[in-house]
Amino acid sequence: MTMAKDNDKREVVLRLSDITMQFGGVVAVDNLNLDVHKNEIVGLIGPNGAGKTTAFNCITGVYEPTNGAVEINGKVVIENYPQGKMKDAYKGRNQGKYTKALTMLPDKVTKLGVARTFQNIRLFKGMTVLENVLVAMHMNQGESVFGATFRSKKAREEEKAMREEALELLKKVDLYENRDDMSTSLPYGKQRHLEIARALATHPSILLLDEPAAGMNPQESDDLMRFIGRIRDEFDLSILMIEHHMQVIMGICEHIYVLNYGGQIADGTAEEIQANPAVIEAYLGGDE
Amino acid sequence: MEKTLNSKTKTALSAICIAAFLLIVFALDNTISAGSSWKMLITVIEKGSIFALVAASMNLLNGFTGLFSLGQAGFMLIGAYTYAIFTIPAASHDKVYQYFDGGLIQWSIVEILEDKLGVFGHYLGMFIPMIGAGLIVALIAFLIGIPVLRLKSDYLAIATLGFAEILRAFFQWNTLGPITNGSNVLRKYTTYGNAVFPVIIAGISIAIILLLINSTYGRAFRAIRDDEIAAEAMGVNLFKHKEMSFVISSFFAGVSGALLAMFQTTINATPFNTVMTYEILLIVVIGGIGSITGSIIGAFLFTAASEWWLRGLDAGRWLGISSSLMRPGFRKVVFAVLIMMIVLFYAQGIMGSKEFSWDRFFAWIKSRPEALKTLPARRKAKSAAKKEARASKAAAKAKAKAAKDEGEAKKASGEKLFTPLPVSDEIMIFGKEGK
Repeated sequence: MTMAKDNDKREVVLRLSDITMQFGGVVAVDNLNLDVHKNEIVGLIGPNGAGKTTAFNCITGVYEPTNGAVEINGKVVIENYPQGKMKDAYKGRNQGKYTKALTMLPDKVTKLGVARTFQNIRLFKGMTVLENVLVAMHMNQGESVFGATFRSKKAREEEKAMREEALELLKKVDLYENRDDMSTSLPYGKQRHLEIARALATHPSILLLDEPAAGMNPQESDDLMRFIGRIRDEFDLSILMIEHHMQVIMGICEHIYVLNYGGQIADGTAEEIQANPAVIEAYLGGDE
Repeated sequence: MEKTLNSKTKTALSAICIAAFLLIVFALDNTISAGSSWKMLITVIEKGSIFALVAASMNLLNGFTGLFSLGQAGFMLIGAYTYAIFTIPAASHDKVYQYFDGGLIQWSIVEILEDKLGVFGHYLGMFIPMIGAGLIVALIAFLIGIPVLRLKSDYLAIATLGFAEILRAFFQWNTLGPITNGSNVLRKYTTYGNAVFPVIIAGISIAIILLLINSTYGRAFRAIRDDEIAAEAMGVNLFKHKEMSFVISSFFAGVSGALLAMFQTTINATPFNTVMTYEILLIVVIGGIGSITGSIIGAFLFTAASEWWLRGLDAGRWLGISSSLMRPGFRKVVFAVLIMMIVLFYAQGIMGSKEFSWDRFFAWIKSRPEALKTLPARRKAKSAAKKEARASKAAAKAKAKAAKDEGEAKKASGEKLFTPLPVSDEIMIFGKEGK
């Protein structure tokens, strides 16, 4: 099952080793091994309920994986093994391979340079477009709450720099004209763009996109595809994306991983995936 | 497009308005005689500004950080006691702590500083315990926040409410009598001389809250309110920021508690109960959750209504109407009904989540003549729309009736009401397994 590959010479920026996420008796993600190389666009696909978003949540610290490790930029930041009740209930594999318990909260993961977007858009509803982006820059400013409240020189300078950078970013994602609109008043496609812009504002090196083309028509998803390619080059990113639009996935991803019922059933280039009988079976159903 | 004023003009306008307001308050307090019925106005200004401060601090938590906390009265209680304990003149200790041998603390900060620095020392002596009250409350909030802020929504509300109740009981504990005077009142401590004092302190505090809300930290708070998960994914440390908001909010609740102690001249733990918390919550809701301007307006309206305008309802005669219904307690009935109306029909509160701005104010003023001119036309349009709606409703009703009649006629004549769908192979493809 494990696919020996790695003829890619680029360094690995994100590596999942045997990530297993088990909720009670349900194994949502089972032994996921995944590498993202520098400047690569990797696709993660699978039918509904295959565990793609759960895998994202394991990377970003929303969930603690039951077993396995997450390596970011060559450093293991999340590692866990079945403990307590899970020890007996554990259904996944590779038990005993991992022995450390290492967890990280989502904000810390973001600080390490892993930014994400959400499947169902999660913008800050009561805030303007510009403010949405500014929130993402908050973690990089160094002024204390006291200094920020009383508008110290440093706070004023930082605020100014943040605003300039945010406006610059909004120009790059074609949202400059909408900067003072409420985030919820934007049309759907632009909300998606804003979510990506907000993620970019955290200065990531790895970007996780959770169904960025959901609900888009072919024309829009075509634009989005080009947009993702553009930001990859412009911001020097490595991208891992979940997507259902095969057109987008096949058009842009250099490497694709396929999940089904939590398990990893295939990985390879677009052509390999399209020809893989296991994938076809998972998507279209096989002969009984 | 409306031309906006430049920021210097706006600042100047605000400064002038604030100065004028302070002058008026100062003058009124000096001119209104004790027996006048307008004395109530001063009470409303004093109590209103104190409640405006505590409501603003609660709004910082509830409206801007999305933490549903109900501990405000408990924090005010600590603030009030801290202030009172340290400012009771040495000579009065025997009288105040009569059941506890004059108490443990035998000095007053105000007196010590007054001896050394004169009038300035007197005010400094009031200022230090007031800030100290805030700081002690902030420290306690910090400690209690560590376990409590891991809870969400209603659970947080219950935990903070419970904590406030525990505090109330704790301060009435007899063993602590030498400090808190047990369940007896604390009195004779130093209070302010003019209504301007609480207005200034509350004003400065609210200004600081506003500055905080409009800083980058305020943005992080609002992000947490709007979507915790997204905020965390954007690198906002949830616990740190919630704790920060909780501590700062509690600090100002403590300061307002100290002000309330001064306003009341005697304090006792009993009134700092859940009812007080609900009153503060009410002010926040009436004013608009997420609007400091709203909290201020709400505080003054609430205080004016409960202390002044609706007083007659308890006394048996109100606005020239007298009724046997109007006996003590009736005011609360009317108040409850008013609040229900507000929540039902005006859920956004007075200000919603908007703040006062000079631009909007002038735009509103400017739009008035135009609005007045077009008023008849708008009224006409409104009534026409109503008529149309009524007509279309009637038409729909008639249509429905006709359809019903038709159906009944068909039924009577034995005709089928629905023609069943033809069963074709095309439809069956989805029903059968992969054939």
